[in-house]
Parts: sequence; C-alpha cells; structure tokens
Amino acid sequence: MSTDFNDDELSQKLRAWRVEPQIPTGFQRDVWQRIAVRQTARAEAFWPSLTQWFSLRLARPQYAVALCAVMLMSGIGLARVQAQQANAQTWRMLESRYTTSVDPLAMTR
Amino acid sequence: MKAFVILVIAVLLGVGSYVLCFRSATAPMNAMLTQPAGELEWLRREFRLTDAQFERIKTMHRDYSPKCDAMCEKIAQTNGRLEALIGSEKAVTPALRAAVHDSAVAQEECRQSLLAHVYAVSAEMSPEQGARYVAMMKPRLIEQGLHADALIAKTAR
Repeated sequence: MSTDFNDDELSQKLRAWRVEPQIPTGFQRDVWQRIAVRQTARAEAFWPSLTQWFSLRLARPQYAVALCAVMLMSGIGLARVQAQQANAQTWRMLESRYTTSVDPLAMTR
Repeated sequence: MKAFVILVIAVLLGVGSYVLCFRSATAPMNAMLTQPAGELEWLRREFRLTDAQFERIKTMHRDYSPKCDAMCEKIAQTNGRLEALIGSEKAVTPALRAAVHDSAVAQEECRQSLLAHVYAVSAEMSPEQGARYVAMMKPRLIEQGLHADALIAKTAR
C-alpha cells in the first residue's frame, strides 16, 4: 500500500473538508429531561441510603444496645415529666375537694 | 429484617417503660383521688400532720359534716324560697324582705360555723402549718361559696 501522501493535496483536502453537524429536534429538551431525571434519582437515593446505613449499624450489637438504652431512658424521662404534671393536677383536685367539703355554701352551688 | 426487629424491640421498650413508669408514678395520687376520704389524706400530707393530729382532725371533720350538711340544706331552702319570690313578686314586699333576711342569716350562720371549724382544725396543727391552713381557707371565708378553681387561683397568686 502506498503511503506516499502529497502533503499539499492532503492539506487542500483537509481545508476543504467541512463538518456540518445535524442537531436533532428536541435535543435541548432531552438534555434537560436527563438532568431532571438524574437530580430526582439523587434526591430519592437519600432514603434508601439512610435505610441501608441504619440497617448496617443496627446489625451490630453495640448500636442495637445503644438504641434500646436511648428508647428506654426516653420513655422513663417522658413518663416522669408527665407524671409530675398529672400529680400536680390531682393534688389541686384534692385541695378543691377538701375546701368544698367544709364549705356548705360551695356545696349548694 | 434483623434491623427492623431490633427497631421494633426498641420502640416497644420505650413505650413499655413509659407506660410502666407513668402508672407507678401516678398510682399513689390516683388512689387518693378514688378513695372515699382522699381529701383528708390530702390534708394530712399537705400540712404534715402527725398520726395523733390526723386522728383528731378526722374526728372533727366527721363531727362537722352533719352540721355542714344541715346548713347546706337550710341555705338551699332559703335560697329556693328567695328565688321563687323574686320570680313571683314585682316589687320589694315584706315577704321578699323576710326571704332576703332569712337567706342572709343562713349564710351568716354558715360562715360563723366554717370559721369556728377552721380555727379548731388549725389549732390541732403545728403553729406554722396552722397559719398556712388559715391562709388557705381565708379567701373562702371572705368570699364564701367561691368556686374551687377561682379559690386555688387566688391562693396561688
């Protein structure tokens, strides 16, 4: 095979070569659509990845025990706070019951 | 799956500990509310009565209760009569004047009786607690028949 190129001819041909790309219709729309799809996928991936992270951690004993301890302490803490409020309300009701029991006029109302 | 089971166990632990803790913390107070003389038990704890003081005050309360009921009945009757007359009369008649007077007398008797009871109960307490008791009952003596919530709101201020 002959590899002798006439440089001038080659240069001439290259200069004459024109590329005219054909942009398909809806090209821009397609690009934006693909961008939107990838952005949605990235947002939705948060929850699956969080669930996966959680599942991996909970499979380990120290995390499982820590979670159980946190839930236990939270339950006890919340119960104590609400019990205090409930007891205070009951105390007021008992005070009201006593004062009404000795005041005949209050009984008539 | 394992993680889900652990999560469920943790939630159950939290809920279970809440329920158990809440019930045990409120049980004594709820028992006082449901027992017949719960208000006397309240009095004993609020004013730190000794057993002897509590027994004497319980007796006084028991003796006072029939008098209280009788006064309550008398006040209800005089008020009822007054209410009927106010509805039927068009002016202040002698009958109406008499009904107003009877109602006022009944209420005055009630107030005197309550005052005597309050002083007697406070005398059974220690001086400091007795003074607190009188201070607690004072609004009720001054504005007798005050609604319980208004009374408690006044004493809280």
